Amino acid sequence: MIRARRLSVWYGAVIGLNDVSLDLGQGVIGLLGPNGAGKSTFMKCVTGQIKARTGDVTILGEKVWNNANVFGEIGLVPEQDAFYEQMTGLEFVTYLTRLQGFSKKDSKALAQEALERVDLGEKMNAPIKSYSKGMRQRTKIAQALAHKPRVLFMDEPLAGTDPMGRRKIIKLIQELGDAGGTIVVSSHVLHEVEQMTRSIVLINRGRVLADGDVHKIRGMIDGHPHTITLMCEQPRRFAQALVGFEDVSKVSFVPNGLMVSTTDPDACYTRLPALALEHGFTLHRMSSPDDNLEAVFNYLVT
Amino acid sequence: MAEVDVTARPSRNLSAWSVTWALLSAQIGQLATARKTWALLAIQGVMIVVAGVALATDEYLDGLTLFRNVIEGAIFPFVIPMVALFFGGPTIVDEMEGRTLTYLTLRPIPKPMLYLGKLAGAVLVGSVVLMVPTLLLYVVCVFGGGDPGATAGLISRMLAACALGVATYSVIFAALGALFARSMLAGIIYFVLFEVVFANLPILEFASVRMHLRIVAGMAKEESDNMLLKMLFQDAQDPPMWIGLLVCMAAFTFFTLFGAFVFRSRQYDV
Repeated sequence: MIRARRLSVWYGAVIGLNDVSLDLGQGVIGLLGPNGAGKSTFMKCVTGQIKARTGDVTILGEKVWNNANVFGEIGLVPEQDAFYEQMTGLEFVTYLTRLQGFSKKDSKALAQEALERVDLGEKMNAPIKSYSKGMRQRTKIAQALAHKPRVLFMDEPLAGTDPMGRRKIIKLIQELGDAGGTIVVSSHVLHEVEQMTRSIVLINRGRVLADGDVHKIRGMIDGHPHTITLMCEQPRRFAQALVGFEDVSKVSFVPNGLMVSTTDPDACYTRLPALALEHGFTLHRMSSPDDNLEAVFNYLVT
Repeated sequence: MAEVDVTARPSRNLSAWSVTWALLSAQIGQLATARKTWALLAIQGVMIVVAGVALATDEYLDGLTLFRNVIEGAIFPFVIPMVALFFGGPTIVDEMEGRTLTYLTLRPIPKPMLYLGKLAGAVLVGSVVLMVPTLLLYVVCVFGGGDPGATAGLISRMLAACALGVATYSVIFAALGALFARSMLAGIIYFVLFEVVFANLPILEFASVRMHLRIVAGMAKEESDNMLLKMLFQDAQDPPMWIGLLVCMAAFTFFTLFGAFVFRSRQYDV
């Protein structure tokens, strides 16, 4: 769907993107990185708003820069809070949908459908200037969705939304991904992305640090042992039984259990229940606190 | 939230002309209801009222002479550039400053057509905003005296020059806006340099649009005794209309294409 090759963008002496090559397919993809990492530059570059100094981008096999054909199939929720304030939500979305080549009647119907989908059905005839931050955010999503694009880019789509709205938008993004679309969602809020997808692209200082499934990326970070937390009875005896194994680099105690650092998480996960059974320990729960996005992010970015 | 089939969508016409037409009609609708439109109409309305009062109270004042004086003293030097500055200049810059340009550049419209669609809307509405009050002023002045039949040719030339002036200035201001991403500042600098300073200097006055509008309107003979016209034409007091027309149309074409080219090539990082 989206193919970027050796993209570099710089603004004077500041590097926006540095030799980025990526292939993004169907589903929801989280574009993650701290503020100023290059996420928005990447979004702008792949949506043809800025031209890469080197490299090229194609979407659905077509080059993006100055190619109007491709814009019939993509939608963008921009980061900026920008509207034609005097318009109502319905007028705004209808106007932009009309510019997608639909008739007046169809544009209005599509706009209504999109606004209802983001729960703005009741407020669609109110002027945008009277909208709350969350409603404005949802209006931006509606204009990006209305023409039913195959590829959707969302730059910080949850910014300013309340918890209820946030949950609905996350559900909507998942639905769109499940329906076969390509949804690229940028965010610097890790747990938000984690709720939407396991497929991520980590970006920092203009470079892609990792892309793919968050578990697989985690597995590739050999320099950082995996941590497994055990909630069990008799943690001291459990620790004694564990320290002899070569992959176990550290055992520490936590309330009602212990924390094990291992360089071979798969072997360790298999071993733990077996040890509990063999020694008669009561094992309540096992969890891996660093098998998540935040841990991956911290390992790679810091 | 409602379930929607994301794959089903109505048929659409993605031809550049069709989408540009949709943009143009929306642009006209937006500009027609914009505050600046009504403000500019109101300013010209005041001029009409003042002219009407002057004609009603001064029995020696000739209506058509007054019309000519208003065209020459107010509409050419101030009103036309102001209308163009407010309509042509912000063609793209308003979208940039409002950060809404992103929405437009993500539609399946080639960038030059996007520029031209918005510019055409600005020129059309700007022309209406200028021409309707100017025609009203003419009607008021005709009632104030003079023989409209005897001056019909000259009046037609004045009105044509007004329309041409709005179009030419609009495309110049729009191109400057696209180039510098600042409509007002670039437009004002251009206006002061070319239309105020150059317009009052021999030979350099030919670089000003105002000079050529005067030629089209048949008012050039009121200008200073310019040297170039005297060298080129025997009757330097009344240079032919086609010179003004040709130069204005050439400037219109050049700046339209130049603006479209700049807009296509430049990156506007909003």
